[in-house]
Amino acid sequence: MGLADPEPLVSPPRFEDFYRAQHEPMLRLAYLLTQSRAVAEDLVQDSFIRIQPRWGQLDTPAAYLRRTVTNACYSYHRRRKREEAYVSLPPGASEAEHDEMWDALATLSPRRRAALVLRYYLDLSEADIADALGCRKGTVKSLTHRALADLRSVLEP
Amino acid sequence: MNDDELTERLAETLRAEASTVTSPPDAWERFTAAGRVVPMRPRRMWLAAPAGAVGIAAAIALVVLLVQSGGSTNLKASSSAGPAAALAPAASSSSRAGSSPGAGSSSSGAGSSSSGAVSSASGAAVNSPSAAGAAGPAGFGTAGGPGPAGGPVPAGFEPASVTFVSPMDGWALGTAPCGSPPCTSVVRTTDGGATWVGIPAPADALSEPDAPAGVTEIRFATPLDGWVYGPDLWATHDGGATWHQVSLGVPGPVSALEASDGRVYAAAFDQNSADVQLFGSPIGSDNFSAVPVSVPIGAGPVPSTQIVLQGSSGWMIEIDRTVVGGARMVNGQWASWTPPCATVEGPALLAASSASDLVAACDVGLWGGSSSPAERLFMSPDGGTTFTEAPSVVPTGGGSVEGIATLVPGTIAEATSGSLYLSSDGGSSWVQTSPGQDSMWVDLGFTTPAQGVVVHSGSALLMTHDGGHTWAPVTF
Repeated sequence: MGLADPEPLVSPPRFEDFYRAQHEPMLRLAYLLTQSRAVAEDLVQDSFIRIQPRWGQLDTPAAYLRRTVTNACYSYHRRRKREEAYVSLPPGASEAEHDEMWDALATLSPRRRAALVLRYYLDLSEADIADALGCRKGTVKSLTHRALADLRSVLEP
Repeated sequence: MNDDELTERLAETLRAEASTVTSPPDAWERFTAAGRVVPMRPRRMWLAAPAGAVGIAAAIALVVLLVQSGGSTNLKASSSAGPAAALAPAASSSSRAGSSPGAGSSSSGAGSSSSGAVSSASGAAVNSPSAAGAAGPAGFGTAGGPGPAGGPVPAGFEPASVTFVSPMDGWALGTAPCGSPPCTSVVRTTDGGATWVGIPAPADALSEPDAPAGVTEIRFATPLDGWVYGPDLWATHDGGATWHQVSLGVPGPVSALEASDGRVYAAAFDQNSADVQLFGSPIGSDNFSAVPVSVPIGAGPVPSTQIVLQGSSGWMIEIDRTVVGGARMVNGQWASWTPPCATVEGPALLAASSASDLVAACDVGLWGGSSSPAERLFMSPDGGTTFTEAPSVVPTGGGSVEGIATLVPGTIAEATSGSLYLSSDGGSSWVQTSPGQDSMWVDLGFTTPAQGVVVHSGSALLMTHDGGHTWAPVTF
């Protein structure tokens, strides 16, 4: 079978399949990072649009997409901060009831929250988190450490 | 609630919240219908804009940097690195930037840095180990010397970075609970770490090196002249009584800073040229001017820089996942330089104990390549012109190297994400010198061949007085 076949029997993965497989996981990731469904939808859409032209050239499209979405969410917070004067997008605020932990997460800096989500929701390794966040491995450790300390100080004042 | 309970609750909340979000059945149809024209919030233009550029990765990195830096101010960089090294005393230090964490110095990036602990020296005395810095203009080491009198160390102070200019005079940057943020604190010792006082700190948040704003690292060159940086840059010339923000004149984060021999060098990412630019200034002023040598930032997502100085010699290395490039200073003049490990598909961390004794810990194969990844040590007897590989792999305790320092040629201290190690035979054998623990080390460095420091980030500042064989936490 196929190992030596000169012509692949399997056609290259289609972008549509990739989109269908990854849309929900990315939506969930973006929601955890932004705490807003509307914003998450928007950012994930943008990320797919952004990645599409490079489809086929990416060695690890899923990791690349994850990084793109994470960056988009992180940048969204930065942008929102600057735009706060003009636009109001209350993340999470008006959506249903959430537990205390979710509210505590909302008080963290976006970067620290992202480190926790990647670590404790996606179960990524330090190296993969560093890759997704675009930081060094050592930073992941300090981000996580400080984020947990932040959470604790909110939950156990 | 212990850590396990906390993280378990956190994971439960994340899973529960995530499960409330589902992809609509017609998501793909909506995507194709929307085309590329986008969507809902056109104001998000920055997302699209840079994309055209060359490497997307590069674009992303730049965007991140640009956005992070917020525009304004100064540069700061990223990564960093470096340690400080320079200094004086013999020691050196290292730190790394990039990837590995810590090591270096600091700067940027991630890690933290390590850097240098020691830093430097001052003008005067630099190169003379025995003098350790001493001599500086102000009479180092004299308790009750220059600088603010100081008050109590804030309760709950947690160190993040450390610097010493002599065996007696040191400073630590950290944070302590307070009513109105930023709760950044600076503490000072004038008796070799036995006692500490709190002194004024820059009004900027303690951050991570590659965060959009804030500070991560501290360095002093004399008891009067010091800097807090990464990515913002602050300086004091009155021993920390007052701090002011400094701009290097290029739009980007400050990624590394070290001082030696009467000069301070800072690396910043110039987002216009996509180069790392080095700036130098006399330590007593803020007259930074560009050093006529620049190194590409690299195309990876997380650029970082390390600077190591020894007297009027120095090295700068740029890491962006892998070693991108470097520069070397000989007799006070910088020129381009091919750093070690430029082809190993991994980051490197430098340390020096003199103008000629330079070592590099390289995370070979971390980002690809054929061989199985391993941390390897390379030593140069001629200031970085030639390198030889140490006979054995550097122990990492299951993590990565976060800092190295060389006390004297052949004696190398190393901090890994697992614990501290020491080799007295040029890297042939290593002894573990701290309990194993999941930790992050910053600013590993030596002020003299006997006295060294390292920050166990967020929790403790450790010192050694026997050349790195034993370490003990200081009491603030």
